[in-house]
Amino acid sequence: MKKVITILATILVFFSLQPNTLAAEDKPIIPYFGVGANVTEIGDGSFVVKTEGAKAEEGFVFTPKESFTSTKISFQITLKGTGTVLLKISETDPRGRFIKEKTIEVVLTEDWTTHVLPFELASTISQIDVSVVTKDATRTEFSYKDLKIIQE
Amino acid sequence: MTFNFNKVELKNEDGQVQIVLHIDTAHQLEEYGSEFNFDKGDSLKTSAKKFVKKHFPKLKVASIVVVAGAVIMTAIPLQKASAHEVNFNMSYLYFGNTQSYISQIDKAQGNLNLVSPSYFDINADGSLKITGQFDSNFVNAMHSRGIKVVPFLSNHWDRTNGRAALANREQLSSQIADFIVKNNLDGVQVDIENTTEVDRDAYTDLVRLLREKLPEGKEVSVAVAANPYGWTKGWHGTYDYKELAKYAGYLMIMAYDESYEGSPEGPVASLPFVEKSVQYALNQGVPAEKIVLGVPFYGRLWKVGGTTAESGLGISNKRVDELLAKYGGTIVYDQKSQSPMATFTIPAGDTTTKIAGKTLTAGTYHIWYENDASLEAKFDLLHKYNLKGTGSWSLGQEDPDIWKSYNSWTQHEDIESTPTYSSSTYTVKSGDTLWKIATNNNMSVSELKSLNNLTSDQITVGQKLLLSEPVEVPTPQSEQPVVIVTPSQPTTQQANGETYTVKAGDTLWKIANMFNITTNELKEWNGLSSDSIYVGQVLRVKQPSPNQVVLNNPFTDISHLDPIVQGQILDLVDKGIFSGTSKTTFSPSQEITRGQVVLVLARILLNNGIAEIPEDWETNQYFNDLSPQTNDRLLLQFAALVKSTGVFNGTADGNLNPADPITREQMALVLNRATDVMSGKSLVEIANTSGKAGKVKDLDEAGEHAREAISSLSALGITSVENFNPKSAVKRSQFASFLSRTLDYMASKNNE
Repeated sequence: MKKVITILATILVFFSLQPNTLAAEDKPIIPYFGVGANVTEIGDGSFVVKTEGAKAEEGFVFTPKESFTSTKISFQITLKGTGTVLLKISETDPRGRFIKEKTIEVVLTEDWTTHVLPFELASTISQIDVSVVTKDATRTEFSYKDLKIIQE
Repeated sequence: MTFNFNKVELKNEDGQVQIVLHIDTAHQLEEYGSEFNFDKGDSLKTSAKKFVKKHFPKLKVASIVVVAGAVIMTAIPLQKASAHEVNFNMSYLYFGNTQSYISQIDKAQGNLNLVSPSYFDINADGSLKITGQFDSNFVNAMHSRGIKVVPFLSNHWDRTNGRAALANREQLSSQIADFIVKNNLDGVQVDIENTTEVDRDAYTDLVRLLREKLPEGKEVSVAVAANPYGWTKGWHGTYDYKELAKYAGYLMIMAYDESYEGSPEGPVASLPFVEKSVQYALNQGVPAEKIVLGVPFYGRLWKVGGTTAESGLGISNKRVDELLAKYGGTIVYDQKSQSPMATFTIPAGDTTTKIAGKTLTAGTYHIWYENDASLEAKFDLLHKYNLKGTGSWSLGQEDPDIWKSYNSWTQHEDIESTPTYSSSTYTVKSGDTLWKIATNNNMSVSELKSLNNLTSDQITVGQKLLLSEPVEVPTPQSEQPVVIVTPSQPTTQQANGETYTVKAGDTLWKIANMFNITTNELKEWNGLSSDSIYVGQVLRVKQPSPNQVVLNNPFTDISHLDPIVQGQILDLVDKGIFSGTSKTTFSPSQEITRGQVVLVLARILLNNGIAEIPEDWETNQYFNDLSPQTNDRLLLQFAALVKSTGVFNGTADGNLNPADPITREQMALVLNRATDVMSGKSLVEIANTSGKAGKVKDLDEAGEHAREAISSLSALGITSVENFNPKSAVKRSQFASFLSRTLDYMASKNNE
């Protein structure tokens, strides 16, 4: 009987651990990359960016994988922190050739605030990078969440 | 002061190009004297160098000599023109498996010393992923051939994947180093693409880490985006050339995909695009010996009027010939981009052709691709800029015949003097219009017409058009200067009486009289609407015959040759004397073999009813190395014919050595003997009778038995060079030209 219980317990432990293990393996890799900065995910779906302060335009960059159906897009993100950062969209053609970029300055606050950067693509087959980076070379920390690329 | 040179000579001295500049004695000796007395010879040298640089920018010149009358004023040694040799050629392995790769590498005839297979991919977390392509047997097979195996690390254009690798570079570099050492690989080439300027520092740091972690004998190299316009953002901004070169053994410039899938139609790698990319690397401070030039073994195909999805599909070079053989078509060699463009039409209802998995629908297609000529033009840059070598994408896509020429391209065996007008003229080809030529050369149609005195839009195939003002040699007097190109250019064009190069003092009337034609004929054949001609202009002085029209050219690889040589090749092919290496290729740069020469000479004798194949050709062994049981029955027959007629005697040990290249002195001998068989008089006898003397200076390098034959070629104007280089091999195009000139000479003698 004890053996049966042990086996059942083992099975229970296995099943109780398995989803967690799979969840860890299936967890998508964070597609946000630090540029002169570290990007860390917080449990609530937000991320913290700590810049090194070595040069200007440190922060993070993200490349959406989805293809575009419209040339009218917007980069929307919710931010909080201190200091001034730049929201940027950079467009390249399918062969990686730079086409254009657009930047706006955002003064961060301690409250979560949503910001939108509208952009007109040169072509729906273009690639874009969106990023939030420091305006100046400064060691700073800011947080973001709910990053969206909206197509009209 | 600036010196004026009123006459220029190009000489071939010991295989090197020497330019002799003449200054006007009457006007400048006194000035020169003062220069000389005050030791200001540098002014003269500077003027001479500037002059040569301006008027012969593409010529590799070994020395300049300045002459005033009979006095040599100064000699200026420059770089040795043929000093640079390339002994590094790599190729990527992407489409295939171990078996096919080994086969492809063996077809490269020993030209490759490094291959780069696709073994290293990147997991989503940036760690190393070994692909299913890795095979230790392949590595061993390569090492046994003396070929290094350096896999490339690829993100397959996935920007996020590339950034994951860079973010994880510390671990990734360790994984790569471990795998290389454990599996006896020879290094790694970093080929992460489509990242951007924000990744620049991390990219360089990955290369630094790899160099740090890999043993000294293992290679670290980087495939970099070609950057002809110095872009600093987007993919091109990823590469800090100078910093990368500190850690990498070399940078492989991916000098291709100038036009790409979905882009407007155009060449994959035009020469200006490639050259500017090399110049950018050099200007960034990358040492020339760390630059490997990427060359495409593929082309791209556009449907005329097609959609974006039908634009720029990749196609291997070897499939281009197949398509042309299947559908017919035309080839235009675009001079500006130094790229061939093929046009073919798929008829309605034909759905039998697939490219890149897509069925080609009915319609007309353009393919921009690479052939011998365009590749050779790119290889010239290796020598011009003393680069390390070549990297080709990718093995197996090439026309296998290129490997026969690859070595000669990398060894820079051809030092050709370029006439000054060549860079500023264009020869009209089939399908050309004034608009097309003007557009390709950044001119308006009216500019082009004005420059060429054209009153209508009509142009003819073979017509030479000026693309810029004629070279004007500065001279204190108003008279036209003389440009004499001594060794290789002029008499080859004039030996068969087809063309004439305009000299100072010439008029249309004078030239017309010289060739017993009318000025109207001269103007008509050359598309001239006025009486204006210029020094150096090549005029057709014979009515063009139909078989010289490029329209009938079945070959995709000869359109870059001089139109006269094209005509000679096509004429010989038309007469059934010569044949191509395939239905659509002539392989003009390949060295002609002794066996091929046997076939050609035998056809002449047979076609003209001069000799017959000996009855015992199957039983009597005419050459020790050609058994009557050989499978090559045609060669057996023809070898018997040329041996029995005494045209081809074989080597001292009685062998034919059919696969060996024929040397220039051997060619002189067989042409001499063939002439004897054809006309009863050898070239030597004809030359002796004529009393003309040859001007070949390096006869002492030839075997004694060949010297008279070589001299006779020179005396009769069949060759015009002073250095014959008797031991050198002969290209197929050169042999066609020699043979054609010999036959023309014989015909002219018969008509006398």
